[in-house]
Amino acid sequence: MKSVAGPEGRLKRALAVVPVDIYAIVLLGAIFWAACDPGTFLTSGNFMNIMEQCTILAVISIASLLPIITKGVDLSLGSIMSFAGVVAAYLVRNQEWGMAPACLAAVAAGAGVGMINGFIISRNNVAPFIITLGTMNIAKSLAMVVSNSRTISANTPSFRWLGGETVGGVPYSVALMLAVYLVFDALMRKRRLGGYIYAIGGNETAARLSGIDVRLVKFLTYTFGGVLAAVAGVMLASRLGSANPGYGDGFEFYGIASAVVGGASMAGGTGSVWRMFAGSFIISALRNGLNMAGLPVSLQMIVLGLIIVGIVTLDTMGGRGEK
Amino acid sequence: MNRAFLDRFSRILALVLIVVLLAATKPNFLGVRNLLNILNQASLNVIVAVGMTFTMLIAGIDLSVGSILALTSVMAARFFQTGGVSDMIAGFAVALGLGTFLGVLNGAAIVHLRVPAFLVTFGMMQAARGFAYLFNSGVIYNNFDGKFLFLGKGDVLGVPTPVAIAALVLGLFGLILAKTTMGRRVYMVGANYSSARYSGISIGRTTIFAYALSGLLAALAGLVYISRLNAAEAIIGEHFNLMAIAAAAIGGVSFNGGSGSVFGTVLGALILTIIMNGMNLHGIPTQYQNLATGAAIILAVLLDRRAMRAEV
Amino acid sequence: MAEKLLALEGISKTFPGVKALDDVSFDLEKGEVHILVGENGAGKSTLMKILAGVYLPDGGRIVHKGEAVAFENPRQAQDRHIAIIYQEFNLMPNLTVAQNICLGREPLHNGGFIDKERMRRTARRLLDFLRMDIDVDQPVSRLGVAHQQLVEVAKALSADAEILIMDEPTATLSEKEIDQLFKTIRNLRGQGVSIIYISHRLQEIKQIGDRVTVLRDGRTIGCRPVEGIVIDELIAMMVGRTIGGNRIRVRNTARGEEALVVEELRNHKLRGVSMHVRRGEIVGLSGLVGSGRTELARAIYGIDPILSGRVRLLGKDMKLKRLTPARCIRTRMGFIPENRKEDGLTLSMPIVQNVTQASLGQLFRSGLIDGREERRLAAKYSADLRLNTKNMSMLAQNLSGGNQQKVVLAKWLCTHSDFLIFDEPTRGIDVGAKEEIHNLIDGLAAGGVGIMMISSDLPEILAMSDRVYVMREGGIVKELPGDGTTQEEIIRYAVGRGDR
Repeated sequence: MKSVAGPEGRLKRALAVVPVDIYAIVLLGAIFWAACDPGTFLTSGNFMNIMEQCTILAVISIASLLPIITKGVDLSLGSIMSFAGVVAAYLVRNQEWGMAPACLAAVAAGAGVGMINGFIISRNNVAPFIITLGTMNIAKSLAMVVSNSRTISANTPSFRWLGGETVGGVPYSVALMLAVYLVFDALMRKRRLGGYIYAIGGNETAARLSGIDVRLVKFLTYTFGGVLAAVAGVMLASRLGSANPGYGDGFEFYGIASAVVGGASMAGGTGSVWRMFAGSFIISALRNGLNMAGLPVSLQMIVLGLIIVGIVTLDTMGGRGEK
Repeated sequence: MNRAFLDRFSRILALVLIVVLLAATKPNFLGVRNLLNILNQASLNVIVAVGMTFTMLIAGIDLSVGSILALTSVMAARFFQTGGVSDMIAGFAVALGLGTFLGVLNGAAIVHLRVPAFLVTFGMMQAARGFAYLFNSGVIYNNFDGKFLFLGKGDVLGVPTPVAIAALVLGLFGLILAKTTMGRRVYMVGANYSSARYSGISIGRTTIFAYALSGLLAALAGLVYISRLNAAEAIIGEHFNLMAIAAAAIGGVSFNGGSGSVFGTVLGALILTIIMNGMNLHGIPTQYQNLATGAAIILAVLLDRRAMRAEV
Repeated sequence: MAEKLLALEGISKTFPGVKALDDVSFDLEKGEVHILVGENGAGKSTLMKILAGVYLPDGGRIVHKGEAVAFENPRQAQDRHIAIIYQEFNLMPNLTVAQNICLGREPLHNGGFIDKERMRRTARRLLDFLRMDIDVDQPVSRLGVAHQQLVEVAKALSADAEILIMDEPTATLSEKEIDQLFKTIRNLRGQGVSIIYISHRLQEIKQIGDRVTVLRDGRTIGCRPVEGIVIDELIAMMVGRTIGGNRIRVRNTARGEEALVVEELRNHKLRGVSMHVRRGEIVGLSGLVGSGRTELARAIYGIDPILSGRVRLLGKDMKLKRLTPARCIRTRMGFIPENRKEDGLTLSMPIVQNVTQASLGQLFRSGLIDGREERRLAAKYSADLRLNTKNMSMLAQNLSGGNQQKVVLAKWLCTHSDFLIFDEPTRGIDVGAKEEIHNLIDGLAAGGVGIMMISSDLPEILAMSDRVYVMREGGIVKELPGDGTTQEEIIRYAVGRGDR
């Protein structure tokens, strides 16, 4: 019964290893950050700054998490973000749409790309990473077409509502993120669909044999990814007051990194919604810390590259017993 | 004419169709100058994509080729400004050595850390690009010596040097893949990792070999590239990852490893370049190029699935 | 005659290269335990997968409660209350016991939220019925094999199964667990559940069966009531020959030098194994599935890590830290793995390349492959094995099971090994090819090759071995001579009742 003994060992080790790793990383990050600049470490301004960066990443990390649970991955998320942001800004700026319909249109655009991912991946036995690498370029291209490869500035108060406004002291972006988390936490823990997503990651063949519509579940997984990425893209554009086909670049990987730091395993089957927030916060704080420390962007890239590989390594070390 | 035949020759057919279409719509497409231009454009991608083919044959991928290309070429660029023979040799040694070393690092990390290849090479993509900026931020090296410019701009008996180099690379590595035990091992590891292991083939050594080769060829392409541009800076080469993957995918190299060949990859690179060339001739905005590339990757992968199912 | 609950009529199914089922008929009455027996590869599992909606038959029909049905997917079979428990478990290790039991049928609150309390209650009720006391909130990965199986039974019951198919459920259970399972089965039968029970353990038939059907090579050989049946008759039906007709090899009593000496080998599975194999000797390794036989072979071959012990291979002390298949091959050892499609062959490659796969370095020292020489060698070894194909560039995936195994054997002949481990060399192979493979192993031993043969097929072990080691729970519990040992004796040691 190899198939049973493997995951058992992995799970046991993962349970033993993962929390320690996460706390270690948090601690190291905090110490590093504090050491770099004690003055700004705990200022509320900087904290809010991190939070705002974090909200967007936190949404993307859920979009990354869903396919990861099913043993897949979605590399198109960053481009979908750019695409959605550009669509929203274009409609508001050039077509004089209202913010609400523009946002809906942007989300629909993101959902469209997600549905293409989902449709292809669920119906063919192909590596998700290559299909989403393809759609990553398609979405990027569409973003370039819509924006004519330029930055669209939409610096109006209505467009920037997500960035600046607050509800009872809580910024809209944070409130929106919380809403996303509540919805997806309920979805993953309390609805059948969530259980099936985990089931597919645990044992896809068995899920199929249990009568689960694996195609539909996978399709929805990637579609949700597209929707969430679009939401994140609109949030980013709104915060910056502009949109550009390159704004979302790299977010797909930060999303994966946050998901893995938050305890999801690339081997599938595990990862919970609320821990994604922890993962995103750590990654955001780290980026912020590196920035505050005055590290040039080049070094930040190196450090983040190493960190991503490092955390995935820690993650897979737990799974060593497996092939 | 049956399905299997169509599947096998679908790439050549696709190439012929595109050529016929373009020749019919744009008379200047078939001009010698345009054709040489296409080969010249495709040559860099061919060099990188041959390396990519090796990594894909072992069921991996190398997302770091563009960054390796940039880092190795900026590190070596200063040696090509003097024209001294020893400097020239030093430059080549630095670029090719560093490229190979980074490839080995990729391979070793994949083998020993057991991290998925696309994540390891993504980390490398970030890190190598970061180092390129770190050591050469804002610096543009140009005014290379005339001897070095031969690499990118010269010609050998009327054939542009990059094309000649690409042909050499293709011949050499095609031979390695088809005729040597190492090449056979690459296929075996990709086609069935476990059976290869039981047959005493070292998965680790084969994997490292493939990534080292990918790094080496990325570095070589980088030298040709900066020679052609007569400039080197940290920002160059970002699109190479995607173009190389697309060429291999369109050329029928399977993402599940174990099937495909460098000749398929070259066909893929040609198809891709001709599509871009055709889009240019027809005045289609460059923004659509990514769309075409992305769609081509997906289509190629899906067609391959069909072909494989037809065989089984 | 009462109406049958279920009837399979004239079912046929062909896979590429193999006719798995050929006009098979089978029926089931309400509240009976119908046992389906047959050797590996006889088509039992395929037949049941058709019934469970995993495969569509090429021909024939299924009649359920007097109605012709066609199951296009597992869901449709489930909707008619047919449940199957596969040989390889189908639980999600990452989900809890309750989630697994209710998978696909989670009870819901109004509004579509999962009613977790009701789910737990359902799970607990079913487990109580099975007299199983476990926490329904723990992940399945924490359970032992026997408990996982009972969770599978509970899962089937939660679907209100009227027909329960169990595919070799006792393969990995201990005697006590088997008793418990049989109690459960009788209990279910008492409740009117019909059970199809697949096994190749003949002694089980009398304990729980009402009727027994024998399959061989994809055909129905016969169906008998269990009462009054003679086991030997069943065996004759299964193998197509009487057991006395089994060829017994001339034992080798000459003492060659040691091919393999293993001392106190320990790792995650092995608990201090010591054994040896001489050149020219065939040593059988017997034991239940999961007793550590394959793990022992994998450890010796450098696939699984070794914690401590000593391995002396063909006169050479192996460094345990640096033991790899490559080193073993260079020392002239070979390993024919149990799972030929995954570990033995590269299915997408031609026969030629499979044959030379393990000896590339040895054959082509310069690193350049001489294609003509390669084809010549492949043709030579294939001919030695009477591989039934002319075309050496045919892909391995298009060969039948027997021919595939011959390609694996050719691969190891090509290395000229002096010590070979065969793990289940004839599993799923037809009788003719089996005989040929036995002859080949015999011939290799006569030529001075040391052979260790792992097999679950006791007649095979007894017919072929000069000596037999019996393994149990990661250790060797008994060494028996090949001559004069009986199947019962081996089984007694394998299940831990050797002293009785």
